[in-house]
Amino acid sequence: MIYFLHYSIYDGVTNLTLSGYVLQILILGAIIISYQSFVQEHIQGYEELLKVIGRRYICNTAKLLANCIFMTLINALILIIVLIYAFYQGQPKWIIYESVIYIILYYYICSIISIVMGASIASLVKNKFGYGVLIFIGICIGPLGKGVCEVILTMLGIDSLSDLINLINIGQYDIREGFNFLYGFEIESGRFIHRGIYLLSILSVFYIIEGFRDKREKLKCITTVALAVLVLLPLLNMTRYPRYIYKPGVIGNDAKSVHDYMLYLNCKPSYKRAGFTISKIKAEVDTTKALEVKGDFFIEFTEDTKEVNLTLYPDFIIKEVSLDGNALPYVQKGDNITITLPGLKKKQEKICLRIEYKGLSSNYFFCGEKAVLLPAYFNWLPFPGGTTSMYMENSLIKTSPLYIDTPVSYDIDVKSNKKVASNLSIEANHIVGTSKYGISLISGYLYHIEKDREYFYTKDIPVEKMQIYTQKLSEYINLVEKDLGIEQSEINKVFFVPFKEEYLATMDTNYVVNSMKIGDVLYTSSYPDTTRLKDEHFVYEAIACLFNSNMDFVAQDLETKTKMVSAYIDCFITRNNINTEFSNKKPEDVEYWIERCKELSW
Amino acid sequence: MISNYRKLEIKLMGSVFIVPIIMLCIVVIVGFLSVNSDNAEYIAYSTMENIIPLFAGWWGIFGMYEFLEAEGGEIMLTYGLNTFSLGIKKNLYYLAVYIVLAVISSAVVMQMVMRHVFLDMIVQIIFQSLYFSAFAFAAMVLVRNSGWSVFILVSYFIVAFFTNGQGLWIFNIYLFKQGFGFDEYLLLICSKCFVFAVLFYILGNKLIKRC
Amino acid sequence: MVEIQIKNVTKKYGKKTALNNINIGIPTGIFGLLGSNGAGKTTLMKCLVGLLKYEGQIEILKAGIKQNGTIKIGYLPQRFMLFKQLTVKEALEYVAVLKKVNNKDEIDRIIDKVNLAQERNKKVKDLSGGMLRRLGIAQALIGNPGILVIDEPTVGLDPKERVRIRNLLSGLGDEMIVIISTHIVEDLDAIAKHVAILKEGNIIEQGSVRDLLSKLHGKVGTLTIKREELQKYESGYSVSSVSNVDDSLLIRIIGDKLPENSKLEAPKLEDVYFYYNGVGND
Repeated sequence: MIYFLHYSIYDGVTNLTLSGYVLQILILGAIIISYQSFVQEHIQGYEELLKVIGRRYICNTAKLLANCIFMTLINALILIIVLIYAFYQGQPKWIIYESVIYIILYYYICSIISIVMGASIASLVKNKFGYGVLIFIGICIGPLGKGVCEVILTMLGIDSLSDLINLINIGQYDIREGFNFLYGFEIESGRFIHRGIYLLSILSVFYIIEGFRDKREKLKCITTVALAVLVLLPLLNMTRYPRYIYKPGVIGNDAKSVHDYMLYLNCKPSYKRAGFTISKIKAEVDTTKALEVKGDFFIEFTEDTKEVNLTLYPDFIIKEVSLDGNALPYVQKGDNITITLPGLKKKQEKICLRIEYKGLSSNYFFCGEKAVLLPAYFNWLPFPGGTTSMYMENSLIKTSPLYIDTPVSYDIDVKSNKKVASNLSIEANHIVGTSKYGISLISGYLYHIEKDREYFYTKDIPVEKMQIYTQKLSEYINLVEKDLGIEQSEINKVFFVPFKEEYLATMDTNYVVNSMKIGDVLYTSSYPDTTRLKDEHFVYEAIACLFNSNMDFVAQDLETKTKMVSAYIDCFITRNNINTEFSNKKPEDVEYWIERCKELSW
Repeated sequence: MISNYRKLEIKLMGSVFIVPIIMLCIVVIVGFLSVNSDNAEYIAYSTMENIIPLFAGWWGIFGMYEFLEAEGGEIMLTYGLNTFSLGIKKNLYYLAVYIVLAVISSAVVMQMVMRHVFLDMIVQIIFQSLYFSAFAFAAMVLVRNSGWSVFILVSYFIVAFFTNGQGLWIFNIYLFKQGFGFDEYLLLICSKCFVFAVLFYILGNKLIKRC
Repeated sequence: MVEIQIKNVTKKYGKKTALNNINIGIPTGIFGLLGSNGAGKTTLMKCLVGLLKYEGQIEILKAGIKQNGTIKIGYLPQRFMLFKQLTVKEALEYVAVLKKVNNKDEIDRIIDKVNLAQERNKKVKDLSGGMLRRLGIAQALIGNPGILVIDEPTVGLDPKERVRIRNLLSGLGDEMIVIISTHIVEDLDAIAKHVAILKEGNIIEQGSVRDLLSKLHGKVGTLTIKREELQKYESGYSVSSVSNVDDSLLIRIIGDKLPENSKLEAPKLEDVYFYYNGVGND
């Protein structure tokens, strides 16, 4: 196991989260150690001696403790090795700290759970068949269960069994991820509590089995207890495991759950103007656990209306909607909230709505104890109008950029465990500024540097390359902007953060792009390996930056989008003499599609 | 069909004997359930490659429990048998039986999913099973504990699975393909399996008599 | 007549010497190996049956106990926990196959001999300690061995079962060479004709039981003492037994020169053991 640990972390201790195999071996080893120590009395034949002596629970507790002490030593050894590697690799303090916490709260607790599991199996199955049982259980509760069993069951559509594996699994959410340079290791307190409760449940089951061992009705007792625990665990899981916990899927296209798919299954991006504008938002935003917003929304009506339609991500639970202290009726359906006003409001009339909500952010735009990634166009703050924040395309769930036609003044106080960065000016976590693109909040293990522009980046990003990359991308963006007749804007802020990737809408290339430009802010999760990235990379990123952030473009159907982008790429690379390895099937009548591109509302 | 002696051996193993049979049934069931899935070929192939060879060593381990692990097992060395009969010969017998069952299961799965039985897959399964059987033999002779022998086998599989064969690259015998169909590395893998199997058997046979 | 000659046998485990230049001649009949825990009895037994490599020589001089070049030895180790899932008959059938014995009647005969006829269809894991030992002897007897090597035949058994085993072995001693190692002297006293005493890997005494006993004539006695005097006698003599008599103690002592007030007793094999091993020297 030490060799496997070395293999997994010699490149960087952050790879600890990718070493599910080390943990799986630890789990299996712990189960076998415990099983063998508890089954010895049966094999050696002194079971009856212990029965006569009595106080069996003391003997069992002593054995459990002895095994736990042994596991403590093993984990201490793992910890020492990880620390040695961390120091040798020159890792920053926060990674070292997080690694220690990770080993203690994850590896160690899983080992202890496995010890108790092995003891429980030994109580029930004393013959050699127990080895089959413990291998099966050891795999189900470990990373292999997640990586193999759950995946296959999900593919086969056996959701109930897949959910069961998910439930009893003590591994991390994604066996091949679990670390991100923005938020660190996947150590959410919710999951930690879940494992703690898991441990207590298994321990209870073990003592109950041992307690009822010699009673005639033991089978009945065991069955009842087992059923009770099986029912209890899901309930505990549902109440104690917050769904807002960020998942590594933030850079993938997977939805947080079936929930997102079902909600947006038939959604198409659309843009519907509202009968009002939001001129100012003054709010207190708490990002320490769930996202909680308590805000005053200053609305100016552009037409006569009796209601206000807002778009807010559906999993937020609204606690209060009031006007001048009086509660207002509202209906929340999916992304849309319809608030009924007390009487008709005339054009140019102004009101201030108090809205308080708390909730669970999407997989893509997470918010929690350790990090925040809420980009500007994601409706974590309500947007005017009834539109949709996400939609389905080609069986993939995508986010749609949301427009605010008029600029909004923001006065936001952010409560966060870490320092917050934003597209707007921020001083001591207090954001003040005006933007027509929305407001973004990003925090975590962010590094900040100010050179030709402001850079916010994570530890894995090399600074020099970051600058070169940004400069080159900026130049190509300017080229495209000039080509499309868009007002060129300089990039003043750059966020190199784990952003959700998108497909550039060309049928042939399906090139994955990682950048987005909103106003004068560039967001990218590209790794700036400028020695290997060719010009075509910057072309695609520049085009994606502009096209994928344009609501008008996003609202088109896939075929139209494909033709527009293909035509534009073809034109651009021909004109600028750029070599590309990817085939790009340009449509007929390229000029027509170029014109369509230029007609988009930029 | 099975001699009285083998029947007694199977009885000696106890209920643990049935585990590889259960696993082969699971492989068939997974194959059956995957027929209408979009990823049927991938599911069937990876299930077969990951599960079938791994359990080829199961009977080899528990078949030697009495001799190597149980208290007093060393008396079998006084029965006038040579170590080859007690060790490798028994192991190969179980392997042969397992391979027959594995080939049948594999053929059933492939027929259900692909409507075709890929002979190279059968060959791959046979050689990988040989590898695991020999590995199990060597492990059991070395550690003399069935639980830890199983642990060694499963740990090897876990590392190979998670690291795509890179973790113990020299010992890697998996192809990790996305589906059926000939792979140019098949010959290399089969050769590797055979060579390592021979080495494991030699090692095990040399150490089997230590007391 | 010596049937097995053990010459200069030495066995080392790393730096530890388990057997040091052992020389024993074993005749037909029951031969006992006496010694305390860790004396080297089990090691010597394992060398005899070929389970351990050793320096020196072990020669089988008795004719007719080799088959196809291999010596037919029946061995029962100290701990025998095999074949738990099988019945008694099935276990012996299994052993018979391994030993290439085709005679089915032999199994029934041996079952009767070890008095397990009523437990024939009982599972091995359900047998009592004594029955398990008898099964162990039975498996050793399959194939008609010329030598029977039994390590601690009666350890952990009740007195009735111990007598049964002793009687069984006694009967077998008439047919073959039976080598028994034990630290329960009583067992050998009843059945063994020849004995060797091991201590820390060395043979400290060997010979026929009669000869060993005769060497101790005049060296074994009993006397009644006060409780406070016990320590004084323990330091000067080997005290083999202590029993309460009213307010005093009746002790049995062994020494080259006994106290004058002691009453001479006929030596027993136990006295021989204590004399050469020393009580409280372990």
